[in-house]
Amino acid sequence: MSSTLIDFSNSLADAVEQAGKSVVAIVEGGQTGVSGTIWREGVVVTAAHTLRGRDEATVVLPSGDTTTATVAGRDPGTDIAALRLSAPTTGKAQLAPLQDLKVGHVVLAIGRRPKSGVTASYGIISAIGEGFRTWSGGRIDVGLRLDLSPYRGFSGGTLIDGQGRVIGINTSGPHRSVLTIPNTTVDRVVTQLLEKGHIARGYIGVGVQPVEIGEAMQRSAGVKQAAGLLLLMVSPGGPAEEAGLLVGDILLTMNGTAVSDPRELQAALDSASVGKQLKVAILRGGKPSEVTLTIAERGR
Amino acid sequence: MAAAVNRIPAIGISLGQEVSALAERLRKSVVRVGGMGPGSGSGVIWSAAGLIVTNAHVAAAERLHAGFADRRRLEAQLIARDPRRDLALLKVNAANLVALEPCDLSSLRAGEAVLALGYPMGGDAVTVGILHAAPLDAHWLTADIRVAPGNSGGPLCDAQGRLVGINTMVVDGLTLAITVRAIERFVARSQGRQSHVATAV
Repeated sequence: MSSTLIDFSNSLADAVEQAGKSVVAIVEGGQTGVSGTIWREGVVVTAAHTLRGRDEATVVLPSGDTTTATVAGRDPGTDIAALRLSAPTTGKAQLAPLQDLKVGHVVLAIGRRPKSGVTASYGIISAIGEGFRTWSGGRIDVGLRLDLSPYRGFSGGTLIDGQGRVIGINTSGPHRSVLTIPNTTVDRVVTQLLEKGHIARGYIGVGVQPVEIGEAMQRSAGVKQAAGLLLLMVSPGGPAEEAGLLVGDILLTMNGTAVSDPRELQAALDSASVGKQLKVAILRGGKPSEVTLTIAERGR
Repeated sequence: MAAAVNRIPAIGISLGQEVSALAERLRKSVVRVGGMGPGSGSGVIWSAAGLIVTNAHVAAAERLHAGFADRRRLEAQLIARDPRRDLALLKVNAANLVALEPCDLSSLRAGEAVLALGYPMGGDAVTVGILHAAPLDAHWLTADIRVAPGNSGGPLCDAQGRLVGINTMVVDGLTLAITVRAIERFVARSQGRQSHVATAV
């Protein structure tokens, strides 16, 4: 008997089987364990929050063998942790090209449990948005919203397309939703974690709040900008203090680009910014001024 | 140049048509199980001679009825009830009923499409989902499929319409079904007892 429904069913099961070859179970995470994904040879990726500060984990491989893994680094910003397996592995994640994703595409959330083997839930992509920053400062390349049910132990497993290719790593989102960290983001984070053990973030040592700049002030100061960032705090010894910035200064531009939202400042201080010069235009006592500071690396 | 015509790919249409045709066929083997009062569940026709399988928690009333797809409503006799395994065996006075073919559990794979049929919220309904994990335990299996109160005792079938199990409860968003293997054992036990014990309650 052959039919579209049976073909559809078989192709889903094939996709699960294929992707399951690179999904492992991590025994200590959560109540019933969580999942992990063999991202590169000997490297497992999982959701960082599930490790709860542990530096080692017991991993059940797709073959059923149990081995241990050591945390190489974790990034709370994207909730990605990379672990090095103590045993060599075959099979690694086959990545899906993200630019081909469309709303309505069938997706599956793959996990593994030590006893029941590979697990799956089914859904579709319900929205594709631009990249965004998590509240903890991680940069996510593509915003994926899913119509898909999370289940116990899905965290750290993969979201795959209908062909079994990995779209990203799943973790818990707000309101019992699934947040997928896209594969390009995972790749970038994993590379840095394996190299340095952490994700470097820029630091200038300020606390800011957006403020309006009234028309009269704009006229008298000769600036054409209706809002800026008021410095509420300047950390002692930080790059901002060393460059002479004071509490009460209003930040107008960074390297010539206007800033009026703290997220723009955060975005400018990504890992590539560390060590670089930052030219900032400010208003002090109603008068424009300019200083240059060197971006430091944020302490951990 | 001819204008491009927007067409929904044929696969989507035939998928919908096949699910609907399969549901139509399976519906003949699904009954609504109810007592005298409110609250009801579903059941699966187990034999052409009138055996019906459902959950013990569905067959809790004293007098039970089975409602068929052709709108017949027959009194059902309770043959056996095992609350611990949440299974019950009923018998109606009818012949030539359509029983479902059992599925070979060892061939099932995680990700396979499954269908749930039954009478959630009073009306008959079909839902489609997937098998969450390959069934290891011979008694339970899990599926990622939407069910509601009233689906209890109703069939979970594979893409070919074979009986995989009966939907029993929802735990953490996943549907737990009792496997056809466990039902086979329960029916065999119950029928063995039938000759000397009229009802086992």
